[in-house]
Amino acid sequence: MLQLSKNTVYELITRGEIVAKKFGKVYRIPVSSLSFLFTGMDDDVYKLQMVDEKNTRKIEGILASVRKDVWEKSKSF
Amino acid sequence: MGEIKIFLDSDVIVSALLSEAGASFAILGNLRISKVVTNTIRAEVFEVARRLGIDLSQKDIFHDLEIIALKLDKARLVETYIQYVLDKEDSHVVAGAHKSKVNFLLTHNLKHYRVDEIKTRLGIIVMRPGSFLQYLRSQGV
Repeated sequence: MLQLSKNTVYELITRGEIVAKKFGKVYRIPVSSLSFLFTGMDDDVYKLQMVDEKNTRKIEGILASVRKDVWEKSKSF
Repeated sequence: MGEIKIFLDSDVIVSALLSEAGASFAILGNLRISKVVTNTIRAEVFEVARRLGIDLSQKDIFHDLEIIALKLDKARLVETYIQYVLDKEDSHVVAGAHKSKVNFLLTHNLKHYRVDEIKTRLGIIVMRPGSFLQYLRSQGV
């Protein structure tokens, strides 16, 4: 899934680029550490985007209506 | 790294008005990025804010933004920019981004724009605010 070698993953964990916790001899990696793989964004950035998206649904319909009104009233831009 | 200049769609500015915890607000507050809008975008934001009941009297949301005028009549606007949008009403956004010579157009509604055409013909990357923040991080900005 990561398309990285085992050694690279261990190296990224050591450098702190992937947050993981060691249980005995095994590392466990939380989904939030792999956010970039699924969303294209780090976990903290993805959360910022999600805050906006919650509001976007509220804005979308109103903006469409306003944009139509402005378009109809305007002769030039 | 050279100057990063972005054009903001109305929904990004309204999102910043609705929440200070989102990606849009983080971008508006980043003084290292030049941000441009048109007077049409500004008019849209004021009207959307009014309809949403947002009080703008204490907020100068456009303070750090460059505001330009397209100086295009409607027919010319549609003729030149309809190829980049699905609805003609959105053409002024692409025209604004093009005229201001930005690298990025930020919007929450990617589906309204023909992003591949805009990238290929105008050299402008259309993306969501969160993706742009990720880009900034990758560039160490």
